[in-house]
Amino acid sequence: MELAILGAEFPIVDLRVARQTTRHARHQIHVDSGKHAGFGRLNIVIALQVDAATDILKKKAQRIDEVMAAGAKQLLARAENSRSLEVESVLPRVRATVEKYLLKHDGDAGADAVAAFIESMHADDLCLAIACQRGDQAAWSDLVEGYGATVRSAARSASPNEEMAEDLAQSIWAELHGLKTQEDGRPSGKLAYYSGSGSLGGWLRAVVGQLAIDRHRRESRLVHTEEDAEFDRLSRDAGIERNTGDGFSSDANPEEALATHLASVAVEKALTRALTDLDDEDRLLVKLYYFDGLRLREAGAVLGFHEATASRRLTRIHSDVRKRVEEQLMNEHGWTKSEASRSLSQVAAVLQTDVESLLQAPQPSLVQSAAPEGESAPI
Amino acid sequence: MPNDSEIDVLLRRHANVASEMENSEHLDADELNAFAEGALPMAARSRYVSHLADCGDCRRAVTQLTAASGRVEPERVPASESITESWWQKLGALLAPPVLRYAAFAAVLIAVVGIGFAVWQKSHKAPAGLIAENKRSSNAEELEARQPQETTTRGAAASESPAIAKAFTQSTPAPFSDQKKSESSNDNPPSPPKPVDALARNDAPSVAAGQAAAPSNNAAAPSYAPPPSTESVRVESETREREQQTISDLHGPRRGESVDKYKTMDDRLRAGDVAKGRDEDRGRADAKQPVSKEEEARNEGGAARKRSEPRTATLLGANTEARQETPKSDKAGPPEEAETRSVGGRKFTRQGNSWVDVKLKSSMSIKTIARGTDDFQKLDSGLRSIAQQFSAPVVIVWKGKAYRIQ
Repeated sequence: MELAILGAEFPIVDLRVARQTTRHARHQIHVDSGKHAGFGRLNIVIALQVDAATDILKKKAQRIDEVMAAGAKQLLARAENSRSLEVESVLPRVRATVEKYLLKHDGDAGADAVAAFIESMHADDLCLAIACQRGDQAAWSDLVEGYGATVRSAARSASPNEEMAEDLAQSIWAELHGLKTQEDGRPSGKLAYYSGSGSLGGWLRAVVGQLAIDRHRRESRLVHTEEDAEFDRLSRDAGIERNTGDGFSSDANPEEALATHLASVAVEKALTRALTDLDDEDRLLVKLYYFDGLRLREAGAVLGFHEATASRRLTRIHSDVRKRVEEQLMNEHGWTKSEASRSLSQVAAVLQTDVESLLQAPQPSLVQSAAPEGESAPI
Repeated sequence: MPNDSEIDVLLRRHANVASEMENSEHLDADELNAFAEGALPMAARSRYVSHLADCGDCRRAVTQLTAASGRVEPERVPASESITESWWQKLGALLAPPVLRYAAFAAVLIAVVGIGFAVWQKSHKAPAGLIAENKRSSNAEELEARQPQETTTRGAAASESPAIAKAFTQSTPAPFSDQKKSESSNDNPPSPPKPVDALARNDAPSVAAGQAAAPSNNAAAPSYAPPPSTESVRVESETREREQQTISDLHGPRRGESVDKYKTMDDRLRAGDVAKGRDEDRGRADAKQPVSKEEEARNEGGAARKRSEPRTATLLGANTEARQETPKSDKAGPPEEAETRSVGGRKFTRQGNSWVDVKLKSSMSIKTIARGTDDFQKLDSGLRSIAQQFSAPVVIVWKGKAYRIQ
């Protein structure tokens, strides 16, 4: 920071370099303006320190390169079938993966972290993908034989019928192989994007899923274009109904209904804000559980939690959300804590009542069909 | 399940009415798969969590990939979870109904186990107490029969019938030292006997019976002790007896009390004692195996069950014959009431044909005075009045001195 300020005053110092210097060579740099009265001398000191910092960065990058080369070598040695690949053909993929998942997000990651990450990569899968990419027919045969079932299964899951699933699976193989060719004549397929950080089977499922979504979007876009006007009209109507029908009945005392409605709006606003302020992981859990309707076990699995851990986490989130909503209500509306708490409870009670009444209300068709037996069928 | 139902309802409603922002950028297949398989470094994972929290499409893709991979996470409690909770939240969680229902179940379980243990302990203690009392009471009888052992060889004791011992008891006045032995044997608190005491008491009849009764000593030895030889047991038992005598000298004789107290029990259990001896002799006389306390207790229990057997049951071998001494002496001896008298606030026990003050100590010198003599008349009136209550010779302790009035 000190250097940045000085750099602003003296253009000779590049601010970007100065910041890097402060971050990476903080222990070496100490600029005391009191001691260095002359500007020229100060510039010399800074330039020297920048050189030192650059050296450190270079050494670190060199060290990481060495670690990655060693990691690629070790990855080949670790693979049961290295497909006769050489380190030179694997190293670029390893380097790209390390950059993408480690160095891009963590600038301070050291050689040990890099080595550990390479150690966790799927050696056999990566070798198979690289060999396929290089046009190794034996590797292709192994890929189709080993992962044909996976691709078919994923295609069935993502398709409404068997025919579309088969079509999707065939498309996948074409995408993997690559319809275009690279400059060197090799096919340019999607396999080039497999990093080796996850399993090849999982990656294939993800590719199938994305391809299915892309197809769906394309088809939807066509349909949307044709029925755009009608859909928008329906959407607006639904929006109007949703905005007005916010779950609060107007059968009760109008003043009370209005007060409840206002409280509901205030609580909803505070709740939105509270969710936004939540920690990313907590917000993701809330979305998975409430928005996507997952069970706690499933939501926990996405986040890498056990069900019990997810349950504890959700309980804590409830506590946090309540606290944040109440604080929000108190700050924005000047309510006391008891008033905020009472409003929250009141809104929740009304919502609960409405949900229960909705669940208990029989559908007319079912009532009619159940009428001869003298019973109303709950939905 | 989430426990704040109000927030739960609000969040459910919010999920229905809120809409998520459309993201233009999505995670690629490799990123989605790496996240779903948990293969990402921490920093990258945090970035992707942030994206997934706001991108429904990617979230759904990750959800499907996670389900397909069958990833199951082990349960673990992150430290941050516990740190963020305050003490009252923890206390509240402890006292929450879902926890209390388990606590209540655990409390009931502990109570049941505790009661069961107490009942079990009681049921095991009761026979032990009876055994101890039985031994104590029966020893009272046996020691009377044992008194003349000084003049009887062990070989003779083993071969003669217990009736001989009874005859000695009745005809020969016991020396005071022997008298102390008998008193000390009866002077025991009613509390359950310690193993050493039980051993000492058990030794008494064995001495009276001589070598023939040695197996019973084996039976009384702790289970972890190796079976001693017959001779060594005999010597050891005599040694213990002497020690017991020394110890008993420190106590005042209260034989009458103990006899009165346990007389009824004596009658009931005496037959059992015989049966016990019989069992032990039959089972262990030859084998000489160390016997555990539990086994002994079982034998005692068996003996108690067998007490309805006729006392005239056939006795096998010399060992059992010697063991039979106890009931025989009981059957032939004088009634318990005749053994103790209380005169003038003092207690006297019968020793042969004479009565001895329980306060008599071995260190006292005894002055013999005949009734009707001048010396007798010179005695204190209190002493004389006591002496006159007895027709037989009586030893009275009066003002720290012992007088034998005959």
